Amino acid sequence: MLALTDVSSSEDSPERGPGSARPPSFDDVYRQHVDFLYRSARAFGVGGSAVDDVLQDVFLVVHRRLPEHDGRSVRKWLLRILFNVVREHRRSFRKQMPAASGESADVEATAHGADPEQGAANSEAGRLLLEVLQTMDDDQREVFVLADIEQMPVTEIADAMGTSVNTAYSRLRLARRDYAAAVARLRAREEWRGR
Amino acid sequence: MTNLEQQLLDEGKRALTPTPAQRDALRARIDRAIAAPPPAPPMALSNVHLAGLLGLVLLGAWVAWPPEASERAAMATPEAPAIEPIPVVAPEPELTEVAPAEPEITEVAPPAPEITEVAPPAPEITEVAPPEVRSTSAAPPPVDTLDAELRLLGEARRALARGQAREARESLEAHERSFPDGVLREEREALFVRAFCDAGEQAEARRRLAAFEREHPSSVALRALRETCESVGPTPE
Repeated sequence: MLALTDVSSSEDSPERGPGSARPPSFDDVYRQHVDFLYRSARAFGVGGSAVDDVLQDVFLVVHRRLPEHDGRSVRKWLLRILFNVVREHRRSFRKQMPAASGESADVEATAHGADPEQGAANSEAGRLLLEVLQTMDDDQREVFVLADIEQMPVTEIADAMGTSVNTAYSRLRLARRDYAAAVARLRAREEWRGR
Repeated sequence: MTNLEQQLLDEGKRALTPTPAQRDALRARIDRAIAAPPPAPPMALSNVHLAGLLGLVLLGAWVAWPPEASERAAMATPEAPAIEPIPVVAPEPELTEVAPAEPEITEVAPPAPEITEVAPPAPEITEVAPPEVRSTSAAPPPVDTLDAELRLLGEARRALARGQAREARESLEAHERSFPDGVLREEREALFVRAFCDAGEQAEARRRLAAFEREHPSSVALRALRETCESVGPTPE
């Protein structure tokens, strides 16, 4: 518990005090976590035009389940919901487009018009980051996004993902290796694009 | 993690963060979805389960109608016997049969308990137009260093692709003024070499290529750069 309190950013603190057992209000949850959830969904590979659908589903679940929540570890709870919604979203996407099954979310992102001009990633850096993330498989990307972009501790990530800490660390290590390689390739390609 | 890798993460994170306008639009949409009455289950299930219901009714009719009797009546009016059991059989099976809405959803969603909650029907999804929200989203602030660097180098690359070496150089010089030690300095120098090569300014191209080789001996761009500038002539020793 202490670790969670230490780890949490200012986003989480109001409803996660040690003695707090009261669920936060829906408004608080939305205000404090919408950016985190939105970014994570995008970084997990949800296409620009689908991210609103995903976030809506997440917050509908939150709205329904919040009264039962004990007010602790809100971010982890939200993350679990997000994982489920995103997985459901991927499944339905792959059902609609069987050709995409087996491939990663890059297909989905492209099909939803996620890249270059679409959505929040309308800056060059955002586009490039998404492009690099798309080179990773889903599990590695999720750990990497949460650890290296959202600065969540790996123990918390493992808990939210329902995996062991060792597995999470292993995924993170592989993801970091892939990230470095992808950035190097990107750098070389960007340099010589337009030759 | 290198400087560039970290910077890409930081600035990418900023770029993926929703703008206030996007946040507000999303909130309004969620509020509408929350306020909307829950969809009537019979409507959603009718097509699939009416077929099942019809099957049950027919089965009931077949059971209620002894084979001998049905043999006689079967060919004549197949619908007539079916109609009779409907009021008796229909209401009960309909309710128990209609329930599969739940299994269908749980089947789709995997392990955790939240999963069953995960896919609430959202009838309003198509009514909201996300593209509009996107179009109102403000561009990220120009203070993003890497973004600004990439933009300038992108301009230079595009100018080179168009054969406008002079314009390319202007962008590169702007980059050099703004970010003399930027993370994309290596890329800038490589593009400078190309720009001079493309412009046919051989002496300057050779000088810059030699400097680039000294400063970045392991650059992934070096080989391509040498090939690009072959037409200019050999690098002086």
